[in-house]
Amino acid sequence: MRTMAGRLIFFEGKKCIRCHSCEVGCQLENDAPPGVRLRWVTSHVRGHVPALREVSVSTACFHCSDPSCVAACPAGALRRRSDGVVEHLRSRCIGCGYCVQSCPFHVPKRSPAQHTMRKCSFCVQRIDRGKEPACVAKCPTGALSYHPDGKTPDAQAYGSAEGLHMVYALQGPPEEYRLPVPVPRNTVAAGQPWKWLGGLLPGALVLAWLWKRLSPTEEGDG
Amino acid sequence: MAETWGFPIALDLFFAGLAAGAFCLSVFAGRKKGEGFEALSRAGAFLAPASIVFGLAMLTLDLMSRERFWYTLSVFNVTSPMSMGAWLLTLFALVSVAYGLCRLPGPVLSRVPVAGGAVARRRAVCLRVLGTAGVPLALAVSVYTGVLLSVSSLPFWRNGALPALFCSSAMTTGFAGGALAALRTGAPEAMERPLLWLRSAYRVLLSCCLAFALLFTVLAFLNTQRGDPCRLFTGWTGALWWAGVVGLGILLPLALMADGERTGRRRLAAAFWLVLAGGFLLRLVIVFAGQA
Amino acid sequence: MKVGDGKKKAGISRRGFLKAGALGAGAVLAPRVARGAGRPASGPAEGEIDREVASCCQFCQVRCTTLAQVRGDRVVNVYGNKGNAWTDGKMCPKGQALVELTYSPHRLLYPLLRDGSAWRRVTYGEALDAVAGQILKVKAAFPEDHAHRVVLFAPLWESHESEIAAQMALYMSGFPDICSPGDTCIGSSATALRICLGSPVSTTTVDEVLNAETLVLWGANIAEMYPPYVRWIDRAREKGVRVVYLDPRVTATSNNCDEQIMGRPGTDGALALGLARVMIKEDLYDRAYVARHVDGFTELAAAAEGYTPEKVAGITWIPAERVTALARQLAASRRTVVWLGGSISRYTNSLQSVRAIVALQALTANLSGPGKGIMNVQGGKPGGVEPFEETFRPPGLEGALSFRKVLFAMEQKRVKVLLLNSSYRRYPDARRVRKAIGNVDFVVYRGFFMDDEAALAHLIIPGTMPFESAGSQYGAQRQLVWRNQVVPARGETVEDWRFYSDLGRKINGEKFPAVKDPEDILEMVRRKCPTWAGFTKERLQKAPAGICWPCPGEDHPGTRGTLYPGNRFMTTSGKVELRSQALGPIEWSDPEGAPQAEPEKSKDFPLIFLQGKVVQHWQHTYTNWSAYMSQFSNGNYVQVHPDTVKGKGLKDGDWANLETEVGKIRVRVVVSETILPGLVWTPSHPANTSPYDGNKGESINTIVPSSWDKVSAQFNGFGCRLTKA
Repeated sequence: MRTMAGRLIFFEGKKCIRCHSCEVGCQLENDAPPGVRLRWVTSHVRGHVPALREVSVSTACFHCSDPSCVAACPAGALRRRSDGVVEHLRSRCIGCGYCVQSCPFHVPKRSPAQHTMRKCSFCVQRIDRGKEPACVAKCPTGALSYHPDGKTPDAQAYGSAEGLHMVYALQGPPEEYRLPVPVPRNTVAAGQPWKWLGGLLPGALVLAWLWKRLSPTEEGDG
Repeated sequence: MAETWGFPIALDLFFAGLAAGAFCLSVFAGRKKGEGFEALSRAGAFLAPASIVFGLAMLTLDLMSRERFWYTLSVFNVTSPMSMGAWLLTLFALVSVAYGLCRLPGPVLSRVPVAGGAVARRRAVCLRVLGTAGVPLALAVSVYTGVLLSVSSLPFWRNGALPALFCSSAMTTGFAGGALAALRTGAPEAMERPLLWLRSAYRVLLSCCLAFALLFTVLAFLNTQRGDPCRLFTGWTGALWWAGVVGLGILLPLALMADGERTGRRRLAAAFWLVLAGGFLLRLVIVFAGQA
Repeated sequence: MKVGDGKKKAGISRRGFLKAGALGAGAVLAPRVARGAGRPASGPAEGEIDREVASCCQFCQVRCTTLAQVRGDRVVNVYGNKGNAWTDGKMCPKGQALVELTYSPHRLLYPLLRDGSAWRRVTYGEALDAVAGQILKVKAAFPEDHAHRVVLFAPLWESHESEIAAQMALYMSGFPDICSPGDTCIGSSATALRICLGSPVSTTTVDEVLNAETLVLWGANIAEMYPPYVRWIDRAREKGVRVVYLDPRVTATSNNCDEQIMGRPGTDGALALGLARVMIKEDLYDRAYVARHVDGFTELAAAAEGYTPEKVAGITWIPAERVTALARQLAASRRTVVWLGGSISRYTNSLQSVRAIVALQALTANLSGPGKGIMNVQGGKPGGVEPFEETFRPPGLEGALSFRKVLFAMEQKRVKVLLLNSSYRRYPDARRVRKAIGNVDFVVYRGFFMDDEAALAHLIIPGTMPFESAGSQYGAQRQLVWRNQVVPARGETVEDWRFYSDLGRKINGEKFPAVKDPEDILEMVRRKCPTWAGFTKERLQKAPAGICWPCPGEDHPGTRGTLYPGNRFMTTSGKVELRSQALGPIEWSDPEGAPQAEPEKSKDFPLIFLQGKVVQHWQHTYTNWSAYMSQFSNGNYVQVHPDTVKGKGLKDGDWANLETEVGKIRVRVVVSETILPGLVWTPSHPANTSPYDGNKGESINTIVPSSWDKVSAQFNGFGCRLTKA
């Protein structure tokens, strides 16, 4: 049992029956209109008869320890709490879409009718009152479970080792479920200074050369 | 998947880059004496603020909550190229508008409220100060658009050559825009020497563009995920990349400018238009190909 | 240096450009600034939930009890009630859709009277008078010959009190023609249970699976049908119960079983007889039990004689060794629960098949006691209301009416008034049914939306949705739960109990009891029926899990577990009755229209048709009007094995025609190995009046041929074909 500071949602694939109750429960609790899926369930078939099975995964925000979205937001609409929750503040969101482009898990969703981006915020309005998140409350089989103490029931679960606060015990390799492997880190921070340098350096050199070519000591009109 | 960023963003990237390049052109050309260089410098000085304001308008239009655009100026997120970009754009816009105002004829400038009169008396100094402050800002603006995309999570955009590519395109398009405006206003004889200078500058600028475009292509190809096609080689994005961006936007202008001593103004003007078109297609293809 | 001219030549002046830019920006931003004031903070519960009110879901018989969250006078969310031990406070998506549906912009809120091709709004009073007037007219016109003149299509969903009110109103008026919902539901299995054991309901409650050794999910796709009950299966497995799942498709339930047997649809009776034969031949059955508690063993043995494992294999596609092994496994299991799926009842051979399954459980002494029994789905309706029914049913009037009689009556233009409380598309050959309804003089629709049924109505009196009414409802565990009214009824929508009470009063005057709220009706039943004595509203309100029938006293906790303690069955003999005058010997035959039964016809329709439920829809009814449910729905599609479409020029994603002898619909092909070759499965839910893609599509029963056993309709198992569209 690996302990980490902060809340945890644990998804156990073998219990998921693809009923979509978590999706609808999340939308109702978090004022998301139809079509804006803060949580989504995908399924695929694996194996062969007689071991053929339909398996599913319920995905929402992974609440990374080092979130790309927080690093990306220019409006202060995303912040990471000390309990691990990466909270989206709708009142500050300008809808620029940069977090949508930055998240390596493709979690944030545009909600044009609501004029902001939308993302799972761990149902802070419920957990701060001692209740479980809506998805956990609605899951009929217990495939989604809430662990406020941060103890993951399965140290091998996808995301456990990397400090995600939404971890997955799946019935096959993560790639099969279209989950990125290895578990991505902060994409925005990774190597960013080099990217700046890679543009500024050649740019400055060329501009310096142009500047020299145009210095008043060069031949020109009197 | 409907793309998150579309036409307005491509326009914003293009006009921001163009503004940066036009500003640099204005400051550089201002170092030389002569009517032609004067016309170039003036053209750049007015093109830059118009272009940056239009680019900012496009950026604001693309927001889902447009009236909240100013929230970006209440936050300074050093890790976010979007945040840094908002600040850079704002500062650059202010500097380039001020610089443009300083370029107005004396009598007109004196009538600008608040500081108009005082500035009109010290025009040269103001221009020098604003120019010095503006060029690094312009450089940063031209690079930030590339950094913005290249630190996102979309594999196609995470390309190390993107910042340099956007920077060099910013310079070529900005210079082209300024040159075209100057060709309209400046007397033909006066424009001879500036055009010669521009030609030799463009040989370097376009070569840089070509180099970075090819580097971008190679890295994009190496970067493609298993099973996915490289969008620079397939579909409309691939067609526009080679025909539009590289062919019409870089190679053809290079060819048009390759002649000996005298190059027709018409040929040069055509080359500048091609550079502009190619620059816009560059942003368009990259924005859409990344989100396909 | 030239000055001045240059500016003009450039076209737009610089200042002008900047001015235009500023104006443009202002124009773009101004309206947004004004709207910005209304921007929401974050999440609805941010603000506050004013109160939570205990309610229950109106859809399936898991009968989840819930807590509706209210802000002001509006329901904003609904959660399961954690005090409900049957569900552990969980829900499926359908019940959650009720929040959206209650406030749907498409919802009908006022009575509408047809005026040519348009609708005219009328008041509830006017609507009530219109209906009463029509019925009285019929009474006057047909003083003697009044059979099938005024007909009601059940079910009434709103509450048990509504069902009683409707019965009272119609019976007292002299028109007892209420079409039982069971004839398109589980009527066959319920009837088989009643004939064999004395009561049509499940013989035990779901908690008993924890005490079993073996649980047989006989076509019971619990994950799709009853999601909150999957936990019972999980818990059972944790305790070591072995779960055997019979289904020709790999479904979400397959993840919860220990072994799955995929056989030909509609052959369950043959399998059961084959299993019985093995047990009899190998002397594995409980002789003592059979001698004491079972009537008709000899006949059973005779019926099973021909069903050798090889013959069963040929019929069911299950290998002979598997049949034998299963029989031995079941015989060795000391406590076995069989859970019947809904599909078991959907064939013309259903009555017989379920008799055979009852016989199987009888052979192994698995009908009474802990960890034993047969469970049904949607079969929890408590009995014992006859003492009350007798108070208002005039002597000589028949009971529940078979739909086929009504269909003929409509086609013969006998039916004058139709109270359409439910969908007509639940019946096979739905286009024929629609045409027949067109012959009815006055059709009253009690729905919620402008759907196919509304299109046939002369008068629409829209109903309330669950949050807007109170009453009791029953669930699969024979439990009765109470639903409180959460918010006032919108517009002029009206509860079924109120409408039928008002109608009964209008037609019968003082003879019809005064009813001011549903508790009045509950009390009427409770006082007259001994097994209902403990069902007071107060007790029910305090019981989030409900109270299980029978409950013969106000301090009686209700009856969980076996319905037949000590093997005292409710048949006249007190034993398990495998003999039946009405049904003859237990036997099996192919479902009507099965390709395997009719080689000639099978050339044209060689594939076996299956339709089924999906978790997000309540049959083909009003969940189709939920945009939330449309997110996971995919219209008309068919699921087929790769071998089924080989050589037909059809691949995954293509459009095809699904055709039967009755009609055809356009479907998208989904190729999957999860279904057996030779079968075609399609979801039953789509409706073409739905405003949402995903839910939209042709109603499946428009292409289902009309075939019936003695009790209910057939929906699966007949022949069909797929051709490229």
